[in-house]
Amino acid sequence: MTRHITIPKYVSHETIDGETIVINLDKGHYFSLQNTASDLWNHLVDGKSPETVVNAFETRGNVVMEEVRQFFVELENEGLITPGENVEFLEDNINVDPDNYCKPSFQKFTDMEDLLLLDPIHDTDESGWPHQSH
Amino acid sequence: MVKKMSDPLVTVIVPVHNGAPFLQETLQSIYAQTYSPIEIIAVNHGSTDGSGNILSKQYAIRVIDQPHLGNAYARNTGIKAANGDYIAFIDQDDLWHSEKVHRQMDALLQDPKLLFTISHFLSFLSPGSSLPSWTRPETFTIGKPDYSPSSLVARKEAFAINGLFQENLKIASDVDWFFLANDNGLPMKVIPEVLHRRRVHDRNQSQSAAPLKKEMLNVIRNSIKRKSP
Repeated sequence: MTRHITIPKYVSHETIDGETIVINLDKGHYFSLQNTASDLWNHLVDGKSPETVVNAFETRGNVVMEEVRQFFVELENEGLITPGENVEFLEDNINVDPDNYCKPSFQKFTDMEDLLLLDPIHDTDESGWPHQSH
Repeated sequence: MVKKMSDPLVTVIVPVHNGAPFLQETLQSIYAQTYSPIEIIAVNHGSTDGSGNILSKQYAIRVIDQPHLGNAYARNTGIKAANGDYIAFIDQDDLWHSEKVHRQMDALLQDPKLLFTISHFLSFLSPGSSLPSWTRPETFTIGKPDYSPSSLVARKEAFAINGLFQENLKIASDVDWFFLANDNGLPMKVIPEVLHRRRVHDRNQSQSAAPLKKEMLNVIRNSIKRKSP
């Protein structure tokens, strides 16, 4: 059995030039993920289970696999991913770049919590955040 | 309250785009302010619902008509036209406590280092509306710091230092302004009182949240870049 994850609807994310910005609108926190961390995030976005991604680093050894596993734990602790369904099929191999691996981590920012907690993103118009459309 | 012989002029800017249903009530909450002197500038950007008629019937409001180019453009027009050295904003459907401007100006006048103040806010459900599913219930009962233009009272120089609202951002220009102010370390103060009431009403919501999400992510990306060495 392979456990998947889901990305909650209150999490917004975007990757540009190898940097992923993630916003947790439930807590008002935002994050920057770069390099390997950004790649790992996008594997999850692509629907890969954490276990599949961890196993893809087998050639780098147990320490690296544990670092990847721990990174996913930290993402879950921050509310950026939540447990999803268990599936029975074995997933296809994924493409990782173990030679360019660097220990994944993220920068977390809490300085604008009050602003980001004003309201969940919903339908809005040009009246601005966080107003609803007129 | 701090009362000087001649309190400085505060310009209140009201961007208006099809705000007829609640506009008069909003204007009344400005008229009810205990602070004086106040000048009111309504920037009517492309209204087609009679908002212009409502504004034309008001006494002592400067009305600037311009095309519908977004709230950032409208707010910037107001800033540039302002005679006051202090600027406040209110959205066309929101309400102010009668002492809002006074309490925030007290803070600014008592501490010359401050460049802007915000207050706390509460949401309120517009009569006749049902509660939309997307609202946070706690915003109706627990006052929280309000990083929105309707809460902001600022020295005009804050906009010289931090810039005007970014007009290329159609939705998140106010978020961007506050992020930039934070990154620039603009001295500010939160007045921990509910002085702004934000109207919630169940209008038809036909627009996607996707453009806002994209702008938000861009604003935050730029902020992180500024913070990174």
